[in-house]
Amino acid sequence: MTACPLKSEVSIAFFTPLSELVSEPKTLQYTTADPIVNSPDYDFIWWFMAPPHIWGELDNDTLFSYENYPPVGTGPYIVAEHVPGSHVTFEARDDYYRGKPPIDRVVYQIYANNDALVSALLSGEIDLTLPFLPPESYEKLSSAANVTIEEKAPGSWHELIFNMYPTGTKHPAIDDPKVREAIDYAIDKQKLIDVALQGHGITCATNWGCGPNYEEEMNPALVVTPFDLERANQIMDEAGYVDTDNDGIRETSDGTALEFRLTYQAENPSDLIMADLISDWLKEIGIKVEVEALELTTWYATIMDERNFDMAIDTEPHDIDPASMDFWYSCWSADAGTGAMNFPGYCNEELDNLVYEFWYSDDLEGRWEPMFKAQEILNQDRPIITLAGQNSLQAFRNDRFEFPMDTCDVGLGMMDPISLLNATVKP
Amino acid sequence: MHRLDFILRKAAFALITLIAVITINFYLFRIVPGDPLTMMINPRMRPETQERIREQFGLTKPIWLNVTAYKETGELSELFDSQFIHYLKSLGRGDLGESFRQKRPVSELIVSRLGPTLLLIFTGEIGGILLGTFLGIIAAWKVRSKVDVASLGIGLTLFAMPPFWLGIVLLILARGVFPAGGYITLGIEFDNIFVRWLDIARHLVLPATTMALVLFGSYMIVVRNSTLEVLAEDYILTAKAKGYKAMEILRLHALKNASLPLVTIIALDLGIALGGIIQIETIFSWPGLGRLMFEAIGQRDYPVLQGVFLLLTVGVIGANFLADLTYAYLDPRVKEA
Repeated sequence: MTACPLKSEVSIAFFTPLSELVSEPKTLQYTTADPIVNSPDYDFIWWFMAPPHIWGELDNDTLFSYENYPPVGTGPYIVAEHVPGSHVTFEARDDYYRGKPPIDRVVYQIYANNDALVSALLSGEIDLTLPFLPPESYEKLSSAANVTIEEKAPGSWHELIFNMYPTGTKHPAIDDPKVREAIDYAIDKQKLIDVALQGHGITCATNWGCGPNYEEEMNPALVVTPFDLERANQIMDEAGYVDTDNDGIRETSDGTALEFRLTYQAENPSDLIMADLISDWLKEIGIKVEVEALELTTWYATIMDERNFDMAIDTEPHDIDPASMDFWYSCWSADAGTGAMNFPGYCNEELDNLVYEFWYSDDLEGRWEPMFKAQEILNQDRPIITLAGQNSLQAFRNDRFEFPMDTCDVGLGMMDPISLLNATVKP
Repeated sequence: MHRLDFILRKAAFALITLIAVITINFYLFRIVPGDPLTMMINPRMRPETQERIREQFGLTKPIWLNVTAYKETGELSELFDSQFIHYLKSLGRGDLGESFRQKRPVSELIVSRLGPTLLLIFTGEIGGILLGTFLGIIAAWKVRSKVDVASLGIGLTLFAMPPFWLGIVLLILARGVFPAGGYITLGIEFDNIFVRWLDIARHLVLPATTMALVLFGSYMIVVRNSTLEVLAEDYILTAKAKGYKAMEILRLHALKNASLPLVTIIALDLGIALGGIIQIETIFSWPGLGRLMFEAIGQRDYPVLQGVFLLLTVGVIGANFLADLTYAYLDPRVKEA
């Protein structure tokens, strides 16, 4: 596995422009009312450099329907052709300020099927994949001639989500933190990695995330909850959940059996394996689990709009930059609907305040204290349990190209423009 | 008159089916869980902006009839200010609407994907019909021989095989021989149109073979059984007694009569073929209507789904209508009945 340099820089910029934007070649300067550590990263998905002679003419009504095609953007390539559902062709710019990229044309072809993608790479139809290959591809590709496979940790996270919405439809015991703690103890995270991810993953000490890229940004005092069924059963006993009718399922004090629904996204085969394993382990602590697969859009609607679930497994390649924690776990994002990412609907004002304290502090060292405290609360409250960090797998044809292997901080790995600029084309 | 009556009656049935399908298509997609604007609305947008986006796509109107607006205003026109009536009006103008996600006219999207799908279905159907008919006749002629048993075994196996599984098997077996995905080799310029067509043909081999094999099973079984029935008829015995050669008996006497059930099954199987293209185009990343449908389902892109389903429905109803007419032509007793 490739070692990645630590990411320890968080830029300090300012929020809500107060002054005129000062724009010079290669420099953009603006001033905001409050100092904030995470701009422009925080809102990077909503903030774009855009030419005012095009976008400045649009108002709120016309902005949405404006078809930005051919797209206007920045970078070493321009979009030459886009056929939805098929491919996008990028042509290198001769006048790019860092020089023309060594690869003249990049065709981004969409493969809807992973087996076809692997076959295409092995037969040389394509040269490079995105860093989202499923674990089962590893064996096939790692033993193939002329193919280099790069593994980095982690690229996405598998999480067990509990329904924390106050108005959600759920089993009442889900609200009990002791039940969530017992479930945490009843899950063998390493086994999930070994079986569902075929070893291509890591365990996480925090429920916020983990990985070599983020070590300095994670509370070092937190540890992975060990797999301990005895302890899990003890917690359930102490919390008053007893199997009164000897059917192997515990009941609440009012006699309601602990029967939870567990949904996962049907598009994720790894999550099916995880759901089955978790179901078996929870049976050992007197909780019956009914596993249900939902197609992705239905999953989102069920979790975030209908809020009708007990537990759910989610896999997200999300940004675990602490600066964006409110997007995932805050009182505002708990009620924002499907567009935000607060899947459990978790709201804790104490955690929100700690995150905002981190944001507005200009003390580069001291601001980590509230952030670490926020992570501690997230671990204690357990609105989610991080099951595993899934390693990022990306492969390319080494008989045609050589790519720099220091692409840890970029989402597309070797497909990122920075990597493409430094690629070597083999004769 | 008999012929005209027959055609009109069949056309009326086709029209009624079409109206029913339009209504069901419209409603079905709207009861599926999931918000079509999920991916388009930023949760930080102001509620009025979010509402404006919903209005823009007509999603704030009632589905069937706008009873509330009618009660408020008393205007009959307000009653029909609903999603369904607007859809019907647009359909009447030949307007299939605009894709929620791609913000392009649905008709334009369909046209851009229609060519690859027609090519795939046409090639697959022709392959399946030729192979099925040929082996079906041979199996019937050599009934209870090794050829018959083997053909029947293969036919039944392929008939029962899911297209996605068969496609993946072919993909693995043909790795490096034929392209694994796509419609054409991207990023290169072809010397001439012939080379370009050759490249498309290479890409077509695996998906078309999958489709042909999926369809072959039912065609082969139907042709075999119907040929067996025909071969048991007295006029075949007479032909044999007259000294006709085997091929002449099959070609001149058996084939036309044995092909009647085949016409029916081809029309019926068009629905199966259209269902199969979703799987086959997904496995081989074939940029056709099946892929468009697959993407639109995941995105709850109602206008695209309605448009594609309407086209496919018209295709299936049209094929059945044509089958009825062909059947009547091949067997005059049908229109008399």
